Amino acid sequence: MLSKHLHWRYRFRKHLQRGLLYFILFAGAAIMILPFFWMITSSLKAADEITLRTIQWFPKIPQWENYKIAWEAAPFGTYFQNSFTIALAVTFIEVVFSSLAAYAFANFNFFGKNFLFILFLGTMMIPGEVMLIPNYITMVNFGWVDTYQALIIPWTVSVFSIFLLRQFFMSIPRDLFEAALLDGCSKFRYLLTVLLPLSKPALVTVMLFKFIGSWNSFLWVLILTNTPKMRTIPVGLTYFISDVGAYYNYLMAASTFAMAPILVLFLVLQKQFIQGIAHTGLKG
Amino acid sequence: MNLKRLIVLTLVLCVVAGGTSFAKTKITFWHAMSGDLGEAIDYLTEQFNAENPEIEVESIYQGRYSDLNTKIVASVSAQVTPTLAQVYENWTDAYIRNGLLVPMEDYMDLTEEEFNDYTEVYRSMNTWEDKLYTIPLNKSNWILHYNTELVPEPPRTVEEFLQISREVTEKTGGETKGFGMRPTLELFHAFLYLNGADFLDDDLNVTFNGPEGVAALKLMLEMIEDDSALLIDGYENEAFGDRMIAMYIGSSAGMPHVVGSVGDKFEFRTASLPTGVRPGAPFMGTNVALFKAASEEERKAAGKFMRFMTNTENTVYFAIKTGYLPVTYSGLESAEYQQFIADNPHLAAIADEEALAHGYWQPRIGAWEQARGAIYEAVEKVFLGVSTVQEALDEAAFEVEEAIEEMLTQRY
Repeated sequence: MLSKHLHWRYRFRKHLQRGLLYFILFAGAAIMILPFFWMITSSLKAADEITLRTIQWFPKIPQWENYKIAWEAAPFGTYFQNSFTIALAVTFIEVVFSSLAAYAFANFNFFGKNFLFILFLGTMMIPGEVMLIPNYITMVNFGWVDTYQALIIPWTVSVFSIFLLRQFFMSIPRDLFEAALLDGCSKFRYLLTVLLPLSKPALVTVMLFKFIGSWNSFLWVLILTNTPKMRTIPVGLTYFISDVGAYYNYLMAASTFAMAPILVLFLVLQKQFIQGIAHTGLKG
Repeated sequence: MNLKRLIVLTLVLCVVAGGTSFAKTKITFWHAMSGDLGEAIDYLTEQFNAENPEIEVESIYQGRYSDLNTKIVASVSAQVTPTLAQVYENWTDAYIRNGLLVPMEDYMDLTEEEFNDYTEVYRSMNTWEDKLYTIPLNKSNWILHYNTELVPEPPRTVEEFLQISREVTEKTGGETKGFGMRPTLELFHAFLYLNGADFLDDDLNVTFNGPEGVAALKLMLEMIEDDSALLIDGYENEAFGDRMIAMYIGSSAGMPHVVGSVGDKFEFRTASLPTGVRPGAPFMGTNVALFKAASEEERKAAGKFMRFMTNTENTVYFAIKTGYLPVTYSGLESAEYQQFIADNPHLAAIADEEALAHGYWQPRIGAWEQARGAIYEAVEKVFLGVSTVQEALDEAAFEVEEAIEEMLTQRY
């Protein structure tokens, strides 16, 4: 009798907890989704609807041609190609460099290691704006204006990624490293077959950051290119805003298609990301 | 023997052909015109290139004005400046002080008639060292936009303007405020000028913190306090289209946006700014500058291009396509442009010839970019209630004086 009462109370509490949890999750999800929802409904509004100050959740008549107008406002086909090429190249090369550098900092001792590492970290304190013009001059001297290498190579080393990977590598037991070397594994093979697979979550994080960073990069691309055929999506988005007004509906339409690939990428990598965590969790 | 001759002949032909295609003068034109404006530039550029096979102009969109300025500054430091670029007057002044430009006039072969055809306001805005250093391209003016349902006749004087603003708020029970006020440097400038003063006098002494400036800013503040104006952040045309305000003062360059937000909800018209102690029509927009790094040949090609861009036919084409003003009298008076204005009554104030006689503009000094920031901040501080009007203006005046001092004593 008593136990049954307890049982009910237990179940009630469990339901309540679960209900509360779902409520919080739903509220959180709603807050996250709202801007995207707003972006998409705004992208379908007419010019005289978009600027209404009263909240209007849906357009009266969805203006599907906004997407066509936005797509044709700038050479977005080319911009997409460039954005993809550059983001993929930057991300790939950066992961190679960062993991090699982080591996050295995490697993080996060499002369001046700490000094070098602090020097690396120090460069993170320099604001990007300060480096813009010197870097531009370097690129001009290399004759790299209007080339892919100017848009890719300067961004292939990221101190933040090296730092993040180094911290992650250091959390992996050193015994594993020593055991592998004892078993005759080469240092490079250890990195490739043991360390990197174990570091999937950190790698995915680094890649995601880099990809999104490159995808969104604007000023560098604008400064380093002089022809539409070398430019990327964010440059296209500026077409809709000026000092005297903005075409928000077209801008939202363009933002929607500009963001779609990133969203897909995130959804795909998210799976990897969770797998990665589960994987290391087991080994840990 | 015959074969040999043929080879030699072919080689010679190749060299000649190569030589002529090499002789094509290439010039670059950096601008900040996107959308319809960019298309108009591209169209005219193509026309010019087709008509002038010996010249190739490449018009390149370089982002918004701020991006364009960054890009020019970067190109100066790397010594890869364009041939031509769209510039504001204060940029021009800074570039001239640093010896980066050559006067466009020297390369345009303008007859006296052609020279005088450029609207006087724009000539004044573009003259340095008694020369037309830059050529006006996309000029706009600030005009009053009004909703004809609530404001049947536009105010002619500042008193009328204040009265109508109050009346609209009263009539609509506050639903629609009479005037939309974005606390900007430009609006402060408008009221300052109507009060008979300006930011600086001819000797670059700061004058905006005198009684006229204080009165101007107080007038703006009072309009908010007595509810005849609505404080706006963002673009005014949006609140206007949403019937939150019945009037606002803004750039004629924003016309496509106004038309868009108003839709067919109501009818609107434009008028020149009301008259205060004196009439005044603020002019803005950019001009085209010629960089010194260009060779003699490139400079000549650039001059030819600017003649083409501003000839009657093309300045009218550009004006109709973009909503900017024709830069010449012949353009303004052309049958085509007059017809365009007649067909679009909401544009009436844009081409008001009387306004051209009372044109004024923001100071054309290199230090202005920095000075602007200080004045903007002062206006904002007053509207946020952080400073009194006199305090805020005095503080800004001090900063502006310093910026000018710095400009005059050193190159930068």
